[in-house]
Amino acid sequence: MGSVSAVIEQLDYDFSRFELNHFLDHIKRLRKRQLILMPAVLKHEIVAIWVYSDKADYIFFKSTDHVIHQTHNILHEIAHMMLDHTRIPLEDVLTPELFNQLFSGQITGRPRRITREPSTDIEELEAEDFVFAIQEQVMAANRIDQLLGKASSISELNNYVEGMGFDV
Amino acid sequence: MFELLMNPRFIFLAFIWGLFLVLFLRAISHQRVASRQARLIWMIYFACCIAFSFWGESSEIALDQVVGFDHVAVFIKYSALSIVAHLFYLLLRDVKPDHSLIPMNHIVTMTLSAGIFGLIVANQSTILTTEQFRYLFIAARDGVVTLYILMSFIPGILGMYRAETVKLMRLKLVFILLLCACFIVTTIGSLTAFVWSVTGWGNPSVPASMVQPFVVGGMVCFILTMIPYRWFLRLVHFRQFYIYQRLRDLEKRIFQKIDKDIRQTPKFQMMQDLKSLELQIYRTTISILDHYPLLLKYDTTATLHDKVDDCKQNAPDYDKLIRRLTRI
Repeated sequence: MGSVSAVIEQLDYDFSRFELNHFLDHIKRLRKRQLILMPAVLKHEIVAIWVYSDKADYIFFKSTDHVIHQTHNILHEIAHMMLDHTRIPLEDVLTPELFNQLFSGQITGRPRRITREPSTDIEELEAEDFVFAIQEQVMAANRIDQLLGKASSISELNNYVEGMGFDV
Repeated sequence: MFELLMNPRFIFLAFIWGLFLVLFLRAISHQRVASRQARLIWMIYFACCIAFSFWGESSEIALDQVVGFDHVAVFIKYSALSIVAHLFYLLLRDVKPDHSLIPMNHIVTMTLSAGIFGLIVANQSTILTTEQFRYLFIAARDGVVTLYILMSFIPGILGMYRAETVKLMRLKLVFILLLCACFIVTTIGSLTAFVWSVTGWGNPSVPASMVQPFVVGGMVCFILTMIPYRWFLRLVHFRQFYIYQRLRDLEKRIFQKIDKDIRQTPKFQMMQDLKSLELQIYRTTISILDHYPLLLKYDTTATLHDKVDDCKQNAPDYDKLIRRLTRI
């Protein structure tokens, strides 16, 4: 987890502005590489895949998943990229249609696979920790601030309610 | 003495004053009372507490007997509430300068002048009886405050409600609107009581006592506007903990059906920390979304799968999704 928090700190990202596309633009700038998101039909137990190619990073995610779940899975794949995790061959992971449509030769990357067996892969657990740490940052910046931080979003009214100590 | 201490009205007033003093001292300790806005808001609450202190005819008679002058208590309430109305108007004007439907700058001066004149007349003249003067004072006071409510408070608060994004502040604005609604009903009772006392159409104490529940309702709303956010947050905390427990139960049911070991969570910390609780709710939701598709493979009935899938299909945002999942 130590390396996860260090990597998140190195992102130097303002989480109060977090919105998935905004965050992905930031990652693109940091990596100086193209990042292409594509909804796709994936094998049953796979919810997302990061594919590394010479030209770009691809993230495939299930189009039928809930948007919250899609966001989580995309961030999970971003975690593998940013944490510089080992890439594995993906020929058998992608469906043949998807593979033939976009790639040729050997491709590598990381799938997010959900199975009945508990995951023992340290890098998978680390990627999950990364997403939860990001979620924590977003919550700290937005939701909790909304509840605990400023007493009112109207600045003139805020002067009054702060006078009552509502925000402390 | 014991009877006084056990009197519900005394207990209620003691609670309001106690709360006011605790919050005022709290604001002082956090160095929050120096600004012009802070002084204004504390004056509003102080004047409200003064007005509430002479709630009921018996309190008025007791004070009038002490000072040896009729209608002093009614006059104090009249002045205090008129001042509260004007100060709140100033606050709204500061926050939303163009909210008021009519200009109201000089109403308080006229009201207080009329009050002083009325107090002298009530003690010197026999045009009206003591009881009729009392009902006149109350009706005039409530009428003036209702004028402020209709012309300034309701448009101003509705405007703020629309602009406000902090949920707890929106809740407080709703309490102020409810307080205004209670006051309008009280005014109808006061005006009716005055008309009946002058014309003899009925017993004036009847409408006056009929609106007493609204007086209490207004005071409760007033108390709720005084309470700091963090005290409300305890309620939010309990609600979130309940949501978490429901989600966790659902997650356990899914894991049992797919025959997977349930993940461990740090319970004690969550009870104390809302942020950790929110994060655990998120984690549990993701775990449910991750694992429920496996039900199709391992659960022959697939009922639970269909229920979660229905939530996923029909709840496009996070909060709605969580609410629906907790109902499974």
